[in-house]
Amino acid sequence: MRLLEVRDLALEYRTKKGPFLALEDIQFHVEKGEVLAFVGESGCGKTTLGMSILRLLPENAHILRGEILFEGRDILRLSQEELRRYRWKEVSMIFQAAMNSLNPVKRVGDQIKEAIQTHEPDISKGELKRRVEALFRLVNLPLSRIGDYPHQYSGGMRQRAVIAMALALRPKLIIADEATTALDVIVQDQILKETKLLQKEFGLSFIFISHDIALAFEVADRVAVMYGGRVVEMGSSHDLEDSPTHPYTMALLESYPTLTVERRRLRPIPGDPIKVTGGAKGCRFFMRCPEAEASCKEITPPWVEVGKGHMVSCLRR
Amino acid sequence: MNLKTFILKRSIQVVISFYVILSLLFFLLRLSPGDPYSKYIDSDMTQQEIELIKKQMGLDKHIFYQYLIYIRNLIKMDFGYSFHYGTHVWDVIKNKILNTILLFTTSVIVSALVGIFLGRIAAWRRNTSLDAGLTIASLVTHTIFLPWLGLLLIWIFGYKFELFPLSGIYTPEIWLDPECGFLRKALDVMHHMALPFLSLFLLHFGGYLLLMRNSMLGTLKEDYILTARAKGLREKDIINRHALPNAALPVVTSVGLSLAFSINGGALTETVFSWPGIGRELVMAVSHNDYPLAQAAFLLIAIVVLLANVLVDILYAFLDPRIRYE
Repeated sequence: MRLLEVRDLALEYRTKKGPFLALEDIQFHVEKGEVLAFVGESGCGKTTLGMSILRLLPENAHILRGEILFEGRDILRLSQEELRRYRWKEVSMIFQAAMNSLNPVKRVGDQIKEAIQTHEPDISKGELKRRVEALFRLVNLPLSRIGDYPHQYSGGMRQRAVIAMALALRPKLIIADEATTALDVIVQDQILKETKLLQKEFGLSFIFISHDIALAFEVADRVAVMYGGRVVEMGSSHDLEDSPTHPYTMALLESYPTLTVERRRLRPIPGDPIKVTGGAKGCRFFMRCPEAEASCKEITPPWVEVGKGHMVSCLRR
Repeated sequence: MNLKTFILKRSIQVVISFYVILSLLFFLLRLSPGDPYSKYIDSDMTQQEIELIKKQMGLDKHIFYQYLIYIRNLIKMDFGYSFHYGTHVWDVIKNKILNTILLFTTSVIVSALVGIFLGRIAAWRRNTSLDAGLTIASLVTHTIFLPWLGLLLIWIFGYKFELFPLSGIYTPEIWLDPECGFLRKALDVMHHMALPFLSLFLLHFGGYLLLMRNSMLGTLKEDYILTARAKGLREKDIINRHALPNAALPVVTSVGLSLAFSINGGALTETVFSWPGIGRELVMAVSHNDYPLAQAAFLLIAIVVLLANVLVDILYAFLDPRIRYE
């Protein structure tokens, strides 16, 4: 059985300006111990996707169809109480803006303790203390700072604390949503390396959400590129890095600086991100695609396998 | 800066503010139109007699000399004699201020407690008919004109149904009866207090309700609430343990200052219900140019409000770890 399998997920936000299709035809799975990255520009639906796995969506989000199977159980059918037990115990999350995801008036250690106590109400005080200390050691935070408040931490320390909290219950899957985006590159690199070690050590699965495709290649086993609420290309990091196939993936790679290739001009992607209002036909990238033809506007591109496990959704391939 | 330094620094600020207030008060009262002695002067009085009246009031001296005497007496905690009552001002204020605290401070406490409690419920049940009902009720009662509400309550409950007395604070017959015990007297005062208390409560609880509700709704949008929800916390715990401590901060300021200002009383309420409180006394003292009485009453209010500000600041440090004054 696969750890997580998402089938034909579609979701819309009902706004005052009308419905906005945030996710459509989402199809993927995560194996045990695997790191899957979702990359794409702002508003492409990657955060919404992460939130829907924990069912943390805002009230105006409506799932139109699809299944989210975690160890074979459909998360969308769980009762409130079942959902509560599933959250953090099975799947935890490192949020975008981890800076603000700690409560400013509560001590950092207490916020981690709270996560454990919620799911293990019978745990003894001593055991609880020992667990929190172990977590602090795990993420290289000094034990003397357990009783501090979040504002007394630096950005990097807060990030480590949030990771410690995500690991508190040894969940099977952790969703990291732009987890290190707000940090400077050195701290980011450190934390990513450490997290990678923890992931290997505990056989954790990760869903790594980022706008940074280079970073995704570095940390993930497989990468899914999203555009306008759809996955347009998915495959192993090697395949996508060496032979990007979808025009959007190619454009995304050209718009990023690299250290290994010779200096070249960065190429921004022309045009603006798309807003889909529902039931649109054709390829989402049509308006900005350098290779677009008339048929791209009419026909929704099917999935084509261009290599082993390397899928692309483009009419021109 | 630790808490001790903070308190010291704020105390110095309080002393300076207090000095500015007492000086402004002295000159403002004397700049206001009218004088305190004209009503004692007859047309057939001689000039000497008029001068004597002025001299008794200490108004024959130069205004800056009067100011120095005023400062000297304040240092000696001597507030002087009321021009109007002829008694020591403290004796006039003492009883009035107790009546005011009984009615106004009590009503602030009760309406704050009820408002905070209902505001939390409204935020929790946001966008339901309960929330809409509470919000609309608050808006109506909070913006109502108090004398109108007071008269309406007196007319319905005092006059039509004769459930409560029309005015005053006690029934003289009960209090003059030497055999009457404390409990009976207390019940009598509470009976008199019911209608003014009800109108103040209706006027104020909506303000706290709306403040609490909005503060809660703002807090519920924060990222750490999403974290708490993701951690699998029960909705009740999210509200009480994560949202409430943050949402309470602006409410604490508001309640703290309202409590301080409640010793101010309210001239309108006190007039409508003939409640012998400090609010009405203040208006009278100013219009009679009763300088000593007005000065003492205003200074008392000023010192309570200044100290309440410092207390709220200190309380804040305990509620919000980000403010440790360090």
